[in-house]
Amino acid sequence: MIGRHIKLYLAMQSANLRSHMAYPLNFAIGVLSITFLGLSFILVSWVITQKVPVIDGWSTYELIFMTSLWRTTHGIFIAFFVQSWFLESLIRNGEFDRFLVRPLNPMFSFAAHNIQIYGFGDMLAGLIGLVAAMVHIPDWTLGKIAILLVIVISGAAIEWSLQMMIGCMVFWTLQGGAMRHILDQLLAQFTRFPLSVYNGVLQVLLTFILPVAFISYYPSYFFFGDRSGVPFSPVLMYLTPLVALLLVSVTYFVWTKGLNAYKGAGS
Amino acid sequence: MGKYAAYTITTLKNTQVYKFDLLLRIMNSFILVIAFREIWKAIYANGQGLALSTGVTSQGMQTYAMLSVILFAIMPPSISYEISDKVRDGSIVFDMQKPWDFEWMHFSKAAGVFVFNVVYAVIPQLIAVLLFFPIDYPAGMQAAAFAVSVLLAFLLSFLINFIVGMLAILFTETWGIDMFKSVIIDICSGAMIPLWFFPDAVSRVLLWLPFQGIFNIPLSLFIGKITGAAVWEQLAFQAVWCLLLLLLSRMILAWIERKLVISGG
Repeated sequence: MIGRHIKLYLAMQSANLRSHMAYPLNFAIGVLSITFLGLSFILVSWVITQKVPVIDGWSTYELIFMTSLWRTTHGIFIAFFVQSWFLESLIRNGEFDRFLVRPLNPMFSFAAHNIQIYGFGDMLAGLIGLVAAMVHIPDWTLGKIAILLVIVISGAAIEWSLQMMIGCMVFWTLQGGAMRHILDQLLAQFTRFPLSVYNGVLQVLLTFILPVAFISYYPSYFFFGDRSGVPFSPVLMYLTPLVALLLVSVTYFVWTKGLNAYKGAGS
Repeated sequence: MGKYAAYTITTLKNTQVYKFDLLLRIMNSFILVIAFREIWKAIYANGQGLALSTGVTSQGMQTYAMLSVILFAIMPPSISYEISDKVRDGSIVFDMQKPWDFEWMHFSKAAGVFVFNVVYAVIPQLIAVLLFFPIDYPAGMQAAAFAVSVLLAFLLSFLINFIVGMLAILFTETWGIDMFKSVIIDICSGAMIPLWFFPDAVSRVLLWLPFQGIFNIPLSLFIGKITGAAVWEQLAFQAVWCLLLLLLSRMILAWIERKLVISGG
């Protein structure tokens, strides 16, 4: 059962991938430009710390680690799940109904519907940044790298959940997809500097309401030597996988409710 | 002149349709304003003697960062996508055939978007910033210089967009090229990091490039980092680059128009 789904997923995504690579030059320029964009954010952290070496206890390479961690998880989200951004237009154009009539779980159909190559540009920039930072952060073990992998996947799951929950609003309202721009902004801006630079209201918001800080900020502490200074409680640096699991469950529940409420876009 | 003004007004009317998008954009900008302000406040709190070594106080830097977000709102949108779509379906020919100048036509459109953005995005954002955060603003001649500088920044940004848009005619797909352009402007203009934060050798180079005319010059005028005779120098710098880019864009346009005729005939 699961094996059949994996085979099907790979077949569908490789077809999608081939259709995107029809123009190799455009493909290369597109991916490289996104890598360039990702690296520019890493450059910003580097330039600033040349004048101010430590920001709220975070050094150059710790800041680069944090921003690259988000860049990598974001790349995974963009590559495999970017269609959550387009739920609104899929529904409005009536294309969404295709997923409902297939003999497959609609969530599976929806997830296998698109692969976005630009995500690989983000992943590349993120990995370059992570490696550059990890060289300067002591005490790496295979175990820690395995945990980093779990954190990266959990981070992508958190971003997916938040994006999907906003996307699912469209089942009830048939609009509101534009709200995602605000979420995009929160994700891109508040994953680059330590949470402690922001005021208390933002810290509570980004930890407990829109748990953006669990993507890159809290888990970063786990990999650093100095773990003092975690806001609220040091326990938070271990919680990323749990937060991801919880959010994914809630999202799936919202999605199911949404499908039941969905009546189609036509008259 | 009348037909271009009419195009500006039509664009202005078209853009007013998207009210909800606008509200989201303003909210979005305000999130950025808050984020940038808090980040630079923290950076100054962590840096020793930063106000002395850079010549800009923490307060001045926060104003610079908040205003960069607002200034971003008036920059003309990219035209590459529109042009590359039109090249793909061939309708670019009709644009070029019409009895008007291709560059002026795009400028009239950008001007319409500019007026819209000033009225509906910049003014509400400025009011919001002034309500929530105490900032010092320039007065008298300095304010006038700032206003002129913003217009020149808009013109510079339009010309760079137009030149990159022209490349769309040659390459058909410009998404990636346009992304490169945006990143270069973000970094080299001082929009993300002020130029005086870069290593000296880098900032000396950046000071000669046109990009600093888009964010660094107007924002520095606003916070009073540029004063006295330097004001005229910097305005002249923007004007000279506008002239150079205008010439370049005319040359590229003339070349492309010839090329289109050849491949069509």
